[in-house]
Amino acid sequence: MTWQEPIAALIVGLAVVSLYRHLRGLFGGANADSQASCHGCDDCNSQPDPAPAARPLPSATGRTH
Amino acid sequence: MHQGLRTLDTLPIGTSAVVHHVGCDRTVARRLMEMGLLPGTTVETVRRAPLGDPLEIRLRGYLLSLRLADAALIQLVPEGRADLVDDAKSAPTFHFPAYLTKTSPQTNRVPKVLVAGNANSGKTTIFNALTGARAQVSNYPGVTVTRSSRRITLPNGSPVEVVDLPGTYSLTANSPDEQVAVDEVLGRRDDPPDAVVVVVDAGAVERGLYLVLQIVETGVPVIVALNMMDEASAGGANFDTTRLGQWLGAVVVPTVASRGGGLDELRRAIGTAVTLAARTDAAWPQLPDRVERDVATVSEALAEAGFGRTAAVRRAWSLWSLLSLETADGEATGLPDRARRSVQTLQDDATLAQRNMHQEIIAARYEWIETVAADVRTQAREDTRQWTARLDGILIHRVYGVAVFALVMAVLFEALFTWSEPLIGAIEGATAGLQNVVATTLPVGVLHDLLIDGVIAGVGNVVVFVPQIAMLFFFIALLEDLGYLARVAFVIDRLMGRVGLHGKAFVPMLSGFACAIPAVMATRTIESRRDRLITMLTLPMVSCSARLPVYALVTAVVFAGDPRVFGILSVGAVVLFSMYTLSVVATLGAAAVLRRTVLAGPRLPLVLELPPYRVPVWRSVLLVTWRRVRKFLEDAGTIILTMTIILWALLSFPHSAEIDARYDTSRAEVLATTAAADQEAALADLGGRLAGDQLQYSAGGRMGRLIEPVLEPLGFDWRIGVGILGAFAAREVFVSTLGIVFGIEAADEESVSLRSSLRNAERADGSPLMTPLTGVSLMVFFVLACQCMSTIVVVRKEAGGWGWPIFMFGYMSVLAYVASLAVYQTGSLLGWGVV
Repeated sequence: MTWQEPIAALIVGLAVVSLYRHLRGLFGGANADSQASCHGCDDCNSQPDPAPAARPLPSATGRTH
Repeated sequence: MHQGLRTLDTLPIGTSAVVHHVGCDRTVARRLMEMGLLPGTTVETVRRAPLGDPLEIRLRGYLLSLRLADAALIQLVPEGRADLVDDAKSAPTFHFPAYLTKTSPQTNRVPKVLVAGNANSGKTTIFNALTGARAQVSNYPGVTVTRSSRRITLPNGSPVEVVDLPGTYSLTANSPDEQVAVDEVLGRRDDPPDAVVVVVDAGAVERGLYLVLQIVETGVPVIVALNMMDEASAGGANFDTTRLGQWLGAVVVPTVASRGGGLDELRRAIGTAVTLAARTDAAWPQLPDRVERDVATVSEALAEAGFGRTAAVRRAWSLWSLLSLETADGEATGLPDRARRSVQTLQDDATLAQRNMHQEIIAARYEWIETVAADVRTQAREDTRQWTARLDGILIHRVYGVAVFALVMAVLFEALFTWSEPLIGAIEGATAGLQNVVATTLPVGVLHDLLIDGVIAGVGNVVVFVPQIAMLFFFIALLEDLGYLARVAFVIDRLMGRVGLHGKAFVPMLSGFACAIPAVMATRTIESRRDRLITMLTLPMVSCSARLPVYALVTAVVFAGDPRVFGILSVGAVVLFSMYTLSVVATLGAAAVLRRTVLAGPRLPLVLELPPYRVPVWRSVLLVTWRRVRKFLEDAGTIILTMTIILWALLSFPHSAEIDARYDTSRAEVLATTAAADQEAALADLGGRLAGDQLQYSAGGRMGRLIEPVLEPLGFDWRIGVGILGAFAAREVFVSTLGIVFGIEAADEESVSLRSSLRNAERADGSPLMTPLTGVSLMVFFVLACQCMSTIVVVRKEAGGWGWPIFMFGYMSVLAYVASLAVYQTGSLLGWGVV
């Protein structure tokens, strides 16, 4: 084993952990009210609104969204 | 029909008439009346869209777009026959009293200040200027769909929380984004606001004052930011803001938010407003007597149920419920049962008595507003600004408009394909240089390979597309800010309507060219759930920026150097444009199918405000461009880098000792039997084949080989297959994966660009891998496939379950496969683009 191998293994390991966290954040967050990755639109600065379906409100159409 | 009456759809273009009756569907009629289109209002027809529908009209200083079917329900009388309109005018004189200085003890709570206003009135520009935030602003309505908040310190040293709300024309919520605004103003979600800054477009002051009046009625301290004063002054209008403040009992601050004008005064006004107590009784007494009786009945029911802090709040809720509450709203409103029943009884009684309660309330408010507006506004001279009308004469013209659109698109795509080339070449050179530096610095080994063939080849090949991303967003932001894109919505509305998309779907679709995530969230401006779903489920086919690197790579590989089309446009630019066109056609087609099948239902009317043309705010344009570039680079440094490292490992391991041994033997044979002059070339060839065999032996290679039979009919080999698999994490990973594959395959060769490697790549049978046909098939696949996990997650959140996003992923995947198969097989049969 050369000195490069453990470093490369560490980098790959960190990448796997990072991907796992990314996926957990994405799909874990989908079940709560947290935002999905907002891709730089600055909606990231927004506070999440309660999902419309979770808190129906009066609407002009007479239906709740 | 009454003699002398005609409907709005039959009014000749360029003529004016007075509204006699708004006979649209109840909801649409209320929306139109709240926007100022009431019996007695003068309207002028401006033009029809090139496809014949919708109709553009002017009223109360602004432009409104309506579909002909709705215009046909609006009855008019000639301007000289206003006597036919049942529009009994009184002489409203009520002035709201000034707010009192707060006497209640100060709490530790940070005061909350809302920024509310009509869509496209400049709310977010003011919010950004007050807080230093960089929320997106554009010259079309409906950009803000959620609440954003920031804490700031005022000049007097006290902190306040400033909240930017989605645009709304009234406190009647027609769509989810408006519900957010209404809830905040009425304090339904958490603490009621301590003050509200209502931003009013000085060019459409009556419409803005309608919302001001409703908010003032709740008793909360209000500051009116009379915005875009520069445009109003240029149009010859002057305002007596002190007098307006006297009518409202509030401070009125003239502002030019885009240039920072009036903001210091606004900050000081906020500092004062949060020290004021809400009015406990803000009874505005000039509604018709019968409405006042209804309001009193509901207020009494609310008071008995202990609902509402003050008489003003109860009165505001009573008016709100009489105007906005529908029978089907049920318990979800949060109103006490007794009050809800009371409202329903009153509404039923009004219907039986053939009273139009909506019109009674809205018309009375507008009567007051007209009196106030006439008192505070003077037209110093005739408005000589005709730029919007002149430009619309060209840009919405059925012939010139199409020509200008074609020219704009030609410039955009030529810039993307050709003008960006020198910058791309420079970044490619820098990437290769970095690889060489690492190669000479690090000794040969696994880390050496990971950095050169994995990280630099993978991420570097994605980063080279930064110039194209920047150009695309610069153009889009520029066209948005000019007000041109709102005109495109107007022009194509009929087409969108025919396929079943709501007119308001245009703005989300436009956002979709950047990214599907904000686009899906932008569908909150659409009132009907069915229309929202249709838009959400088809939006991911609009070509987002993540697809651009794929298109750009493929077109550069297979169409570079081809002769120019008409001697002007490069073939690559035309192909790029075709992919964007295909994405729009596919989106519309999918919407048409959904509307006629799983989401069948009636189409809702369109009420769309057309913003005036404006000189772009360069800071905003550059900010949008920079934000997209930054996000692209952040993705390259996070998810793309992560995927690149993992894919490199999958494509490098396991490593076969047997293959190494076999090539060691071959290498020894070459050294023993080949002339010295030819040895170098023969060894390089052997090295390439060894790398190729090891690649196929790797876990990634095996996965690619496993799915190869499925992808082969589309013209793809296993290497492209691995790229497609990686692209499900993020589309750009396709490019980085090919960078790794060809980086590893290149083995000991000098670093060459991915584009060169792809041009020279061969299949197992020696035929070229990337033919024009393969390229087109690949791009069609990327146009149609749903390869973005973030989009699936956000659709799940907005749709309220996994069913619809799974359906979306399924139908788009099938569509992508079938379309790509059809392209490749048809092209192969006809012999098109096979070499």
